Amino acid sequence: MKGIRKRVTIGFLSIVVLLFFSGLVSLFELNNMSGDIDAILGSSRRSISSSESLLDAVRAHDRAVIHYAVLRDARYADSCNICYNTFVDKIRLVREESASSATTLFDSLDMLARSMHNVVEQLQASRVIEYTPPVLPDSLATEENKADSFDGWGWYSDNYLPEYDAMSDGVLRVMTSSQSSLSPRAELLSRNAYRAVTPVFISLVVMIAILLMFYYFVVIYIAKPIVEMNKNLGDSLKYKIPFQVKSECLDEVNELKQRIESIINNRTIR
Amino acid sequence: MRFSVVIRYIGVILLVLAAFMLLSAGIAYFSNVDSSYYPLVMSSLLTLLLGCFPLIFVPTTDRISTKEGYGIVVGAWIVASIVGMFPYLMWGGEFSIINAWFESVSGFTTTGASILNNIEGLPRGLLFWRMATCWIGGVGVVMFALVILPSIGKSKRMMANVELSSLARDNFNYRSQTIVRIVLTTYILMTIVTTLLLKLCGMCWFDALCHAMSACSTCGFGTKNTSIAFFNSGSIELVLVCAMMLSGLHFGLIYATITGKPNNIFRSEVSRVYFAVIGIASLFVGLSLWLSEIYPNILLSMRSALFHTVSIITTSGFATADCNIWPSFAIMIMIFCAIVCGCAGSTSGGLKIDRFLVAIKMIRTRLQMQRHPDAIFRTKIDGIVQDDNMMGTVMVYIVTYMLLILIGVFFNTLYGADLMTGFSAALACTSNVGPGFGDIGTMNNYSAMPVVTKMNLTALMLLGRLEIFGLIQLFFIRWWR
Repeated sequence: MKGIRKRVTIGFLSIVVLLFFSGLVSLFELNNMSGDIDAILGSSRRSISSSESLLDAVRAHDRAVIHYAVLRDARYADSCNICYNTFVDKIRLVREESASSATTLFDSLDMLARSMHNVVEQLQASRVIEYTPPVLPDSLATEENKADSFDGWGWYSDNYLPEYDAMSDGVLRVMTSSQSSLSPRAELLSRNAYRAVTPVFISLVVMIAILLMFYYFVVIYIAKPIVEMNKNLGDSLKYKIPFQVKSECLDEVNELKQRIESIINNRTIR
Repeated sequence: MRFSVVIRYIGVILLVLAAFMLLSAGIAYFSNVDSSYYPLVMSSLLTLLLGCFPLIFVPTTDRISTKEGYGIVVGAWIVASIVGMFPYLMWGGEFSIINAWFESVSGFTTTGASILNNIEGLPRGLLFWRMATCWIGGVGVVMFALVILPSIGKSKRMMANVELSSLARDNFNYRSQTIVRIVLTTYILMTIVTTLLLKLCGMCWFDALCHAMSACSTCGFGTKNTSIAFFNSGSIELVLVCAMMLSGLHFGLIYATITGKPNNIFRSEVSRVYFAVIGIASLFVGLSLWLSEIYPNILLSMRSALFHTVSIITTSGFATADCNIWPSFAIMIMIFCAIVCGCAGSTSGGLKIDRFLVAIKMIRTRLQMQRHPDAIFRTKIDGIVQDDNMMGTVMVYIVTYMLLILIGVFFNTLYGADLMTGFSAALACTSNVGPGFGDIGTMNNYSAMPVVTKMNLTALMLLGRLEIFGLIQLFFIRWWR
């Protein structure tokens, strides 16, 4: 390679390339990290909303059962079935969105839902519950109503409530599991953060090394010979000392040195 | 000393490293673009830039002074170790800055000591880079650069001399270019043959190549957490024993033997002593293991003894068993092997058997002189009279080497290591063996060592690999002028 200008330009361009490169790397890594953060946040949001919808569906089923069995409102018989179907659909939806590792949890949730609804179906099959307002004035109470010995509250607390509690626990387990599955992803995120920082850090170290080299080369191949030439030229003109430059010179600086030498030599000969 | 010239040639060596990083990135790419691909590509680009930069400014020179030669060689080892950290650091995992430095220095100096608890968790690209560092370090970082440096002419001999062990170059009677060619040809051929044999013994291509590179460089890095014990194969152990044993010999002698020259392995006194030490040490260790009932029969005892003796004496550090449970006598012999080590001009580190032989002969001469004070005795090796200056240098080297180990033990014990761990760590790192005894046994690693101890051990590795004086000189500023 010849030409001091070319050398300095290429040296300078190397630093620019390195800067661009380290910027590009950090951009790439930060972009990756941002994607991971989005994924974690999205997953967390989805997990919360699906848990909410599951709990809503369980509560709706519970309300329908209370109306049907405890308050003995026969109009809620269909509501129980509709709520159960809605709940099963929601479980299916949440299962589709969840990781395959949670399959066992959803299987057990399906089983618990089935068992909870079985209790209600058994009640529906065993007797026909007529519409009975919760508080009937004695004058309006029929003989049939008075003779009905079905203890709705007792059935609810003895048969349905244990199933409902088990079901709620199941939903809770699904919620906990989906939240704890976020922890390895968060760990991955911290590793990605390290990966985003390290290349930039190393690029910076390399850039500092290159800058120091650049400074050193400019000093020893350009600045030092010029300073020495200037001093020696001055001494040579003033005190007639032979012009001598000991520093290593490159390209144009070397040519300059040789030209000065030849001018001074010609002057001495004349 | 012209620093610009030193920087230029270190730059050329960095280009060689960048090429190996790119090769490792290629392996990562063909392993389904594993997680080490981007770290290796990035490291390669940075190293390339760092290596190219001095070439823009510094013109070629055909004369390099001895000081500059030392500067290039020592500087190249240190810079190579720093640059070798880049892929580890970028990949992350168990590699903190200190751990990456330790692993990189351990690789380039072919020590084979590791801080990794889960080697099998590393992606293939990074595993290959780990092996590449020890393969490059095996014959010397500068040796690779000398092949692609036709422009430096007369300086090549000087740089080859600085890189090679002081005893090794005396055994070469060729021009410097021929020496470099002989060393590299022998090295590459041995690696290829070992790879093929390991493949035939049932290893996959990747494992075969990695273990061949590791065995021929006498490093001892493996691809499995349990080293060679993972394969549990007699044939694999036999191939590795042969590869390690040959790598512990002077490469010039191997070349001479292959090309049918008279100064071959069988005639050399040093190689005869080398084989004798291996034979006797293996026999004693084997008997000790058998008598202690560590192994059920004498054959298994001998097999394990031979493998570990060769592994330690060649400074490889491969293992098939936990040596910590061995009897003290066997451990003592292993420590002796770790001090003596292989021949000069090989890839093994340590004191070198050549120096051991000179020291033994000097003791014998001294005893003869006491019996016959007026007689004149000469110390000969292979029939050649050794001059007093060379013998003095050997003795100084042995004393300095022992002193260095003592200093190492002092620092290791100061930072909490027990005596056995501290001593074996200092010895294993100065001799570039790798595993030691105690907490850093064959089935353990250096991860639990404190940061200061790790730094101390990396300094010992570099001092041991550069035969002490080269590196020490750099600390004397007056020497730089």
